Formats: sequence, C-alpha cells, structure tokens
Amino acid sequence: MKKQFYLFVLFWILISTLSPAQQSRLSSLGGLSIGIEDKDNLLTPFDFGNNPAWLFMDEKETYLNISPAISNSWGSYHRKYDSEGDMYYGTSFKGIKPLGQLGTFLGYTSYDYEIRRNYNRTLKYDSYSGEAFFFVDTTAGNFHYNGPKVNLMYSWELLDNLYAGGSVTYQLLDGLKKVYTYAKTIYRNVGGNFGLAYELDKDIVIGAHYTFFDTQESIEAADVNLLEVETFNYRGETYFVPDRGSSVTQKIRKKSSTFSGQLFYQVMDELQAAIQTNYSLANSKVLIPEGSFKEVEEGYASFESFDVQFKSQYKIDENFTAGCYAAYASRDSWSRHSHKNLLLWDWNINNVSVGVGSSYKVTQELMVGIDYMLGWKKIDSTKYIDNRAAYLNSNDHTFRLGAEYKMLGNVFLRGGYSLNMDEYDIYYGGENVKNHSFTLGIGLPINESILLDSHINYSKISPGNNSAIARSFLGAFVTVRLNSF
Amino acid sequence: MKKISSVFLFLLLGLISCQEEPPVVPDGNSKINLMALGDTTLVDSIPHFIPMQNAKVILSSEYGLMIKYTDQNGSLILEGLPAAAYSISVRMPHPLNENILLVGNIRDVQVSPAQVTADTIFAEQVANTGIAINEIYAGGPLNNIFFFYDQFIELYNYSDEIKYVDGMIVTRVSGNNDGGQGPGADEGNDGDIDGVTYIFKFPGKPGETNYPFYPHTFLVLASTAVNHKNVVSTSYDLSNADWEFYNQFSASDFDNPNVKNLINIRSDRTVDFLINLVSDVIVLGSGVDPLWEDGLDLPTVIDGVQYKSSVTSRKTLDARVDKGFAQSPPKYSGKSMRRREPGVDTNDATLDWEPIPFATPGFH
Repeated sequence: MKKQFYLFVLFWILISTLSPAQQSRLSSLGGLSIGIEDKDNLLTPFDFGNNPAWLFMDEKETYLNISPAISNSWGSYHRKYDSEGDMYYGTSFKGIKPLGQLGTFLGYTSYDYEIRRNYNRTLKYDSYSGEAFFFVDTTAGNFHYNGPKVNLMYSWELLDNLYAGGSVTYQLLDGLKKVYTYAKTIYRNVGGNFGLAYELDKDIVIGAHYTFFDTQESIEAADVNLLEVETFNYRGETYFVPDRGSSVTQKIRKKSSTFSGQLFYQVMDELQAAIQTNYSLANSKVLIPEGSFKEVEEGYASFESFDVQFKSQYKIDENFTAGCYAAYASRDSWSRHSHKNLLLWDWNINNVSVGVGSSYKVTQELMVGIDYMLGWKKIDSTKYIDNRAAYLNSNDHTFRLGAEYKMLGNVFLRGGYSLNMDEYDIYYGGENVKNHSFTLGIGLPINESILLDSHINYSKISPGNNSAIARSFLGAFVTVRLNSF
Repeated sequence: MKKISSVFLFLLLGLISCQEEPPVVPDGNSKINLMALGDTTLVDSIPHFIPMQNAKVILSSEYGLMIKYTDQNGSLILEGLPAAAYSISVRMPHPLNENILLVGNIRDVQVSPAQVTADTIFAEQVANTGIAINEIYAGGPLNNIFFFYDQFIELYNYSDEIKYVDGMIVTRVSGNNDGGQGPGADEGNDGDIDGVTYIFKFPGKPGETNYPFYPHTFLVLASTAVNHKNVVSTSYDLSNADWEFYNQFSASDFDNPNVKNLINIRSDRTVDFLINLVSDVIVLGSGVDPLWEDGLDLPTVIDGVQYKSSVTSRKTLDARVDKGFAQSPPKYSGKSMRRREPGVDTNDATLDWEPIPFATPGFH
C-alpha cells in the first residue's frame, strides 16, 4: 500500500510537470478568490496590494517553496504575430526567513525555458503591449527564450507600528529564432519596489509603495551565411519601413513607475475590508542605431493607468464565509512617430467590475465555493495611421466553482471550474468569447516538514461565432514546501 | 509620517511632470490628388498630351513602394496616406505604338500631415524594350588585395514575352572626356551617345532567335564566370552565370567553357570587360547600329545607367537614356546596386536604383 502511495505521488509529480504558472491552493479551486479564506490571499497590504513593507507582518514562518511547472498552449485562436503554441518549462524557488526583530527576508529565483512554436514573423518578446510598433522579418519559426529571474525582498519594523520594505528584481532572457533571420534577443528587466505600512491601531493599516521597472530588449537579426537579412519596422499595422543589411538591430526600452496605496480595516472580528489603488506611468522607446555609436528614437509610446480595488470578506459563522469585490481600472496609451512628432495610435480602456463570492463547509471534510463577477469594458481606440477606429462596449461574466475535500492524513483533493464570457475579447479580438477552465489538485503532506501541493489546469478559449477556432492550455504545477531548511 | 508622505507626494508629482504630452497632429490623413498626362505625339514636334488612363503609378517613400493605377480620366486620388516624401512615377504603353512607353516622374513630393497635395505628371516617350539592366556589381568584395574581378551585370526581362539577346551589345561608356561633355553625352547633338570604350556583343545578329530571354527572368553577365570565393572568401560564386564577357584578343582572359560568351568587338582593347568600381556608364544596345565609333544611335539603346559615388559629380549620360544616376556603394565593400523593383525603369535611375548590402546575382 505504501509503495502504491509513493507511486501515486510520483505519477502525480510527473503529470504535473507535463504542463506553467503560479502554485497555490486557490488556483486548484478554479481561481476562487472573493469569498474564501486562504493564507496566500489575505486582504493585507502585502497580499492584496503587493506592498513589501507588510511582509514582516504577513510571514511569520520559515519555509522554502520549490515549484517546477510545465505548460503547453496550442490552437488557431491567436493574433497575427502570435505563435501557434507555447511550451514552457520552469522551476522557481521561494524562501521566507523571518529574522525576529531584525525583519523578514524573502528570496525568489527561477529559471524559465519557453519555446514559441512558429512564432509568426515578429522578433519582439512581447508584440502586443499596446505600442504601435512591430519589428518583423519574413519567416515564421520557433523562438526559444530562456533565462533566470531573481527577486530579493526585505521588510522590517522601522519605528513603532511603522513598517518598511523593499525589493529588487533582476530578470534576464536570451532569445533565439531558429530560422532566418536567426534573430537573437537579450531581454533584461531590472526593477525595484519600496514601501511603507503604518498600523494606525490594531484594526487599521495604511500603506504606500513605489515600484519601478526598467526593461531593455535588444534584438539583432543576422544571417549566419553572411547574406543580407530583411526586416520591417512597422508604424501601426499597415505601413512599414524596410531595413536590410548583414545585421539589423533594434532596441526597445521601457520604463515604468507605479505609486500604490493600501488601506486595510478589520471592522470586527468577522468582517474585514481593504482598498488598494495604483497609479502607473510608463513609456516605451524604440531605438534604432545610426552610425556606430548613436541610437535614434524611432517611436515612443506612453502608458498611463489607474486602478482601484475594493474587497471585503465576512465570516458569517465557522463554516460560511462571504465576500464582495469591486474594481475600476482605466488605461490610456498613445504612440508617436518620434522623428516627425506625429500621433500614430491613441487608445483608452475603462473597466468596471463587481463580484460576490462565498465558501461553505458542508461537512468537516468538504468545502465548496462559488464566485461570480460582472464586468463592463469600454474601449475607445483610434489607429490614425491605419485609418481605423473602434468604439466597443463589452459586458463580461465570470463564474468560478471550487471544492476541496479533506481525506485521511490531511490529504486534500481539490477541483475547480471557471467560465469567462466576454462579449468582446480585447486581447485577441474575438466576440462572444468563452473560456472554460478546469483544475484538479492535491495537497499532500509527505511528513511534518514537507508538503506537496500540485494541480493541473486545462482551459479552452474560443469565440462564439466560430467553434472551429480555439486555443487550449494545459499546465501542471507542483509546489514542494519545506517548512525547515 | 508627514515627511514620508511629502516624499511620496514629491515623487508622484515629479513623475507626472516628466510624462510627455501626445502630439497634436495625427499621421495617416494626408491626401494626394494626381493627374497624369502623356505626350502621344508620333510625328509632330508639338507635344500632344492626353490623360493616361489606367496607367501604373509607383509611389516610392520611406514606406517602400506602393503601386496604384489611374482611372479613366488619368487621375488618381489617394487618401489616408502617412506623411512622407514621395517620389511618383507613372508609366503606360503608348496607345498607338506598343514599342513606346510613356513615362513620367516627379521626385520628393513633400506630403504633409492633414494636407492635400495636388500635382500633375507629364510623361514623355521612351523605348519600350522589355529588357532592363537590373543590377550592377562593380565595387569588389571585402578584401585588402584590391580584388574586384567578380564584377557582373544583371539583366531582367520585365515583359510578358520571350525576348532574344542575339546580337545585342553591352558597352562601357567612359570616354568623351577630353574637351567633351563627358561619357554618354550626345556630343554634337547628332542623336547618339559618345564615349564608348568597351563593347562586347552577344552571339548572332539582331533579330535572330537563338538566345531566348524568358519573361520575368534574370541574366547574369559575369566578367569572369568562376567561383571567386576560391580567391577571396567574401566574394561571389559566378560559375553559374548565364553569360561571360570573354575577350578573345586577350592572352590572359580566362574562359569558362560551360558559360556562353559575349565577345569583344574592339580589337584595340585587349583586357577583360571590367568597369569602374564606383563611377561609370553602362549601356545595353540592340546591336543594330554597326558604327559604334561615331557614337551609339539613341534609338538602338535598350537601357543605360550611370552610377557614381558622389552626388556632386557630373551627370553626363544623355537624359533621353536616363535622367538620373544610381548611387554606387563604396569600393571593396561587397555591396551592390540594383533596381528597387525588378525591371521597374522610369528612366530616372535616382528613383529606380538603390545600393544594397550584398550582390544578388540571378535573383532579386
């Protein structure tokens, strides 16, 4: 029996590592998040607002999470410059070390490997980040990206009831296109985050933090046979400037700054509420070499976003928790042709969403949960250079169902289902899009100091008007938690 | 606490003030109103312009080429264009004589954002031969031993019918300098171009049909049809060239027996057909003018190109053959020069040609 048990564990790890993402209990419960209690989904400034200052108060235990993940996506529902499918492998390590009154340390590192199959013409890592600039060649081919990411975070009590925290992030990706133009990419991302949180009294915490990112993507297309390569710098989606040479390079530089604020209020023992808000300014520059040392700005894109989120949870009794959620987000962006200072694109998206959810312990062993969210999107996009304009409204619905069953020996079986119905999919352009997602997971204590958490996720997204077009995703995620190391 | 709040507020305000404002003028809303008129006079000396119906219009800008057609009134209206400097060429066959093309162009039309640009193109008559010089590789490969013997000239049949190269001539026109108007000029205004220094011919006589040139294909004419990579690794393999210049009066000119020859018809020239690395005039003739010594008669010229490295140096090739010049790449750079589009010849090499980083013998 023991042998069969370990074989089952081994089998589960293997199928889990057959597909990317975040490992958590909620992920395996269909993504439930509104009316459910979870230690990784608190309403505190750290969990709800990503404020590093509250790490000190949130994390009191030492642990190390080792999280391998694998995923695959495929299908015909994609955009022009998307791949036919993505294969992703990665492993991350996340360790928390409370140092008593000295503070709390969080270390995170990961190494990711991504294969984009038949990545169509584009040479950029992220072709659809809202800029009016595309850098493409003439071929579709596999693109491989791989590299590490490191994040270090530290939080401590600066003064009585005043907590400070900061983090630095460094990410490096090497990309290589496996066919002509054999483009090589070096993607570097440096970021930092500094925050403060103040405990006004035992029930109220306010926080603020500042986050910045500086990303640079250097792309060099050069044929190994020393013949010329031909690339195209698109301004908008219609007009492009061809470029030819034995080696063609481009640099994309992005900077982002975000101010965030949080308020956490423990209204009573059973009721808590939190608000968090972000205001972000970012820009992206496309730089093209002129001569040996000089780079000129070919294009510039500006991004401004604001969002505010409210979430509250009420524990009606020992077995019943209910929650509600509301959010508003606004994103504005414009792109210009820098040399002539002409406006190319201008778009704005406003988003309002409200949701309710609850979880209920039917028995001591069985817990079920449900979320429902209703969203409204308003999109106003003018692509001047392409002579295209879009004014769209979309009503979106999200249902989530999850169940958790406690077996003998604190073994948990989890399952979930979610359905997103978007009247208009702003990412892929489909109408009446449905996304069905199924999850299945297990929480398995190996012994007192080792816990295995794993889940697999299958989802399929397709526009309502054409069932033959769809994109599927299969992912498996494992987290081995070591409570002492 | 107040100090900390002030720091955050200061950072926020600083950040907002650094954010740039969007441009007030959008791109993509320019308009061009074009009228194309062609001179159809056949016998009279007074031009007779008619609207060029369904004429091919080629707009060249930093965004590449755009090909459109005029309407029944010889008019073309283009809306929603991005702002740029456009060079516009119009061409169509003469309505009464298919051996004549009506060709007109205007250069560097500045099309501003949100503006309507109106212009008229007056097209002139040029010979419609169906064959164009498509690429000239003259400068030699990357090397430090002054190697440039991998030169070639590429022809393109842009017509929809088989042409025959029997008896055609390829000339280097670099004479007529001492006291003359320069290579390729019509010295004395007697209807020919002067300064022929080298003249090689295809086998046979004009009008014969032994050497077909198929539609929409290339012919590579190599100075020496060998694999030059064996000498200089950065050079080109021309062992599969279609034709080779072979000087039968030279004791040292190598002849690849697998490649057909153009032979020298100037016995006083005893070296291979080599052209200047950065500046020269190349003319392709039908070969029906047997007296090249007094100049090549203009009606026998199929195509001609002058290339030079400096925009300030003299343009000497007669404008009836070509009004512009091709910009040549630096010597010993391995670069070449060719038409932007295969065979698209508006008789203005400045518009039609561009330097390219690598030679493309036999393809485009």
